[in-house]
Amino acid sequence: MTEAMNDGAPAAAAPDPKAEPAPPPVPAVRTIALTKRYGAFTALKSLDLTIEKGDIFGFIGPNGAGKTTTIRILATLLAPTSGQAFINGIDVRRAPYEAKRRLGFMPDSFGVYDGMRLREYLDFFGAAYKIPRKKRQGIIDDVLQLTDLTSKADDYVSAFSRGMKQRCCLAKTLLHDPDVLLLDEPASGLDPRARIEMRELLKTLRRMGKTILISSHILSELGDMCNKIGIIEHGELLHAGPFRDILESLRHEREIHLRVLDGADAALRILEATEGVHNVERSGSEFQFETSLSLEAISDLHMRLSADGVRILFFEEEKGTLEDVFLHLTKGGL
Amino acid sequence: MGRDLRRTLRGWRGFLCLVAVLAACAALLALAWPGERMGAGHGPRVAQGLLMLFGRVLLVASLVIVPGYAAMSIVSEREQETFEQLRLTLIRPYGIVLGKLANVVGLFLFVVVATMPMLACILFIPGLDWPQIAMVFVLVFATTLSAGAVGVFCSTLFRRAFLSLVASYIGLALIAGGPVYLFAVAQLALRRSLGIWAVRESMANLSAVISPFATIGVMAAGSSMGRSPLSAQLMVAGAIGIQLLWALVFVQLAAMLLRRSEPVVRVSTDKPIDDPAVLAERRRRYPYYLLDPLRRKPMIEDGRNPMLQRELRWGLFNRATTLVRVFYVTLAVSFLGSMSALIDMQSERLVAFWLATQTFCLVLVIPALASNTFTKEFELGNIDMIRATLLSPLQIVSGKALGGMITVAPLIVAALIGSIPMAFLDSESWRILAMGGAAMAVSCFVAASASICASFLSRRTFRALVLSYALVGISLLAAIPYTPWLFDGSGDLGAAMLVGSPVVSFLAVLDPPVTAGALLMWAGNLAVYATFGAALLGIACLWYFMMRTSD
Ligand SMILES: Nc1ncnc2c1ncn2[C@@H]1O[C@H](COP(=O)(O)OP(=O)(O)OP(=O)(O)O)[C@@H](O)[C@H]1O
Ligand SMILES: [Mg+2]
Repeated sequence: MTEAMNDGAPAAAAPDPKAEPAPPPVPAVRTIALTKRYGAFTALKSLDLTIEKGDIFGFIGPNGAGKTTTIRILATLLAPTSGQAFINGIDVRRAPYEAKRRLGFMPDSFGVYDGMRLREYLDFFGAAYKIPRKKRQGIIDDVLQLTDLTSKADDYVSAFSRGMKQRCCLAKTLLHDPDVLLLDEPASGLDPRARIEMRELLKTLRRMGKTILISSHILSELGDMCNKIGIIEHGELLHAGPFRDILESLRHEREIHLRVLDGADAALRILEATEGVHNVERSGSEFQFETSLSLEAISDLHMRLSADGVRILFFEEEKGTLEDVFLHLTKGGL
Repeated sequence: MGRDLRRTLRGWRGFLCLVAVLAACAALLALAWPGERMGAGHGPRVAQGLLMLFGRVLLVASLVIVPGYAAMSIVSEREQETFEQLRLTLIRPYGIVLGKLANVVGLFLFVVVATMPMLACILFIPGLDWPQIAMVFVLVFATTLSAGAVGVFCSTLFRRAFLSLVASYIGLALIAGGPVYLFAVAQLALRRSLGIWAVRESMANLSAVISPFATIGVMAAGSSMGRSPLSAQLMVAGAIGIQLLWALVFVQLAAMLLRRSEPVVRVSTDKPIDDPAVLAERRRRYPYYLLDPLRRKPMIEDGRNPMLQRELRWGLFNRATTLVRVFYVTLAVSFLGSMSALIDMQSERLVAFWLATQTFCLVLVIPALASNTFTKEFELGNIDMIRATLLSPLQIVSGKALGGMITVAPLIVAALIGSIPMAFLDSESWRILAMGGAAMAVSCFVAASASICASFLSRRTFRALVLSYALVGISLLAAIPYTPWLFDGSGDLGAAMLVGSPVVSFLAVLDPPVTAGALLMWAGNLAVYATFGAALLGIACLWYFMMRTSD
């Protein structure tokens, strides 16, 4: 009934009083005024965090910012001092079992059992996640394939290298097909190749419809993996939102790189004469300058250069990086 | 190395040790204080008795505190991976060993200094001379040194803190208590069968030189046993010398071990074997395999508790080869003991004595096996991952507790089977064996519950081990001094049932005529202890539930 009304929404000039507005989609992760105190020390100060379904959310912050604390509360392992936390709309304090069913948790540091082989290790955790024995075998094979560990299935977990243990823990996290993945620094200790593989794996998981919260220090990597980021320091969320928006909103100055085929002198003249362009540096036919002009004005500048006979080869913005954002927002100091 | 001592003293544990020792001293002193009894001529004897009591308390404190700290010293640096850095500094191996030793001994001296006011109380009673006091203290100090040296040695020998702790406590028990125990056994056996009293004298002397406890005994009895003061003093000097010698030897050994290069911990890379023919062949070659570690394990069945399955398959049966060996050794020792009891045909008391001895040993071994059941999850860093699964707290707790219980079961079974030959002594022995077996089982159950409980209450195996020995000591061993039945069979049955542990009540109930009332009391005693064990497990579970929701 309601759906039909919504489908014909433009036609319905007078809204039916019985039709309620479609409820906003339940966010995959949501915290409300989440606070955690350790004695007198406040690790989390009224944190409000929302992660929509299907996001890869990069959780960034200096050491001791409260990332692990937040993730452990979300994973039902730690009781908050006050505030609420929801996974897929389920309160983790009220219904921890239901929440645990839907979340996969990978801790930042973890051990492995002595004398267990990878397949046995996954079998144990599979059984602990109540996966029926009949289905378990197939699931373990799938997960091994996904994490590229099939050839190691019969090896002892305790003999694995750091990176392999990391992948093995991720494999364990995926066993019960959780909707929300809480990954605490999953890429630490991985070599560059393994990192790229991890990134691809996470993208695959996202395509499978999973929501991923990933905390990391390796910013460059989060930059091209996450669609949203949140920056936390001293237990407070400084900024959260789509990665591009954050970059955009923080940009007061753009740095532009210009290379011309000829007409370099004319170009220099025009640049120096333009209001809002500064720090022009020239080396041969290449220029580097900063500008506070609006996007339209920058476009105009481009046209003026062309009109004055400057033959432009490249005119491009130097991309801002997550490092810039991070350094700009956080103050440092523990 | 001075930083170590200062850090240790600041910690709350040091403070706790201090308070515990002071409380023990004060309590004993208050109990033993002469009060009205002190007549004119008794002064010196009473004062001496108090001094010796004081010395014994300090010795016990030293043997409880010092090995624990010393055994953790180097192995904990290794576990926290700061050891490599320590080795990279320019401190030489001797420096490291002596620094660690000084740290531990310093801590204990601090405890000793804190007990000085109580010593001053004793000095109010006339009759003590300074050399005597000095000797007690030098003896305590020498024992502390040797205990510390053994601990540090174990700490360099082992790579796991747990093994190091167990080894140093057992090693020290052998060094300090072993001779006394052997002396008691020999005395009992020889007096009955051969009647050689001369042997007793020389054995007493020997054990007095080797074991500091016996030394103090000799000092206390010095005058009354008709020894000349000179020979007693020589004996004490010898005892001090032996302790210092131990210290020297173990420091030397520890430094030698530190000099050797770090061995690489080898992890097995063997693949599981699916071929039944190969498995059969291996089984023929290794008869002690209960379950071949290379056999492929079937998947965990639905409806089973995965935690318990893990404990059994990878905890118990993975160590099956070790466990089977331990089983055989226990069986052999128990059997030999039983057979030697058979030699002395006249005595069902000897059957009881051997059963009690085995129980005593088992109760000491069980904490070593069971006190890490839960702490190892913390130490491995697995606890968060397990809690994040769908296992209920009850499943985790019961899986762990049952797993721990089943791990110690083979030992008890071996001891029971090994004792069976004694049943053929005479018509009464069956009854004694059955009752002793029940006492053994209940005692071991209490010990295992106490260890598992301690494991739940602690986060580190080190603390769990100390706590479980304390719990076991209080609940089972503390009652042993109340047992005059062990040697002469006199005493009040009701009191034995009231304060006694299962073993004490078992020994007390032996004397004919065995009335129905006495048997009932005995059964009651067992029931109380079994309930106590179950209650400890209950406390552990409750604690786990609380920890889960607060943190
Ligand atoms: N059990 C605890 N007791 C006391 N303080 C704690 C405890 N656990 C964490 N803290 C404190 O809470 C703060 C946040 O810790 P948290 O582990 O969440 O930081 P983090 O952002 O994960 O840091 P890192 O990047 O180093 O992993 C830190 O200052 C830490 O010292
Ligand atoms: Mg962290």
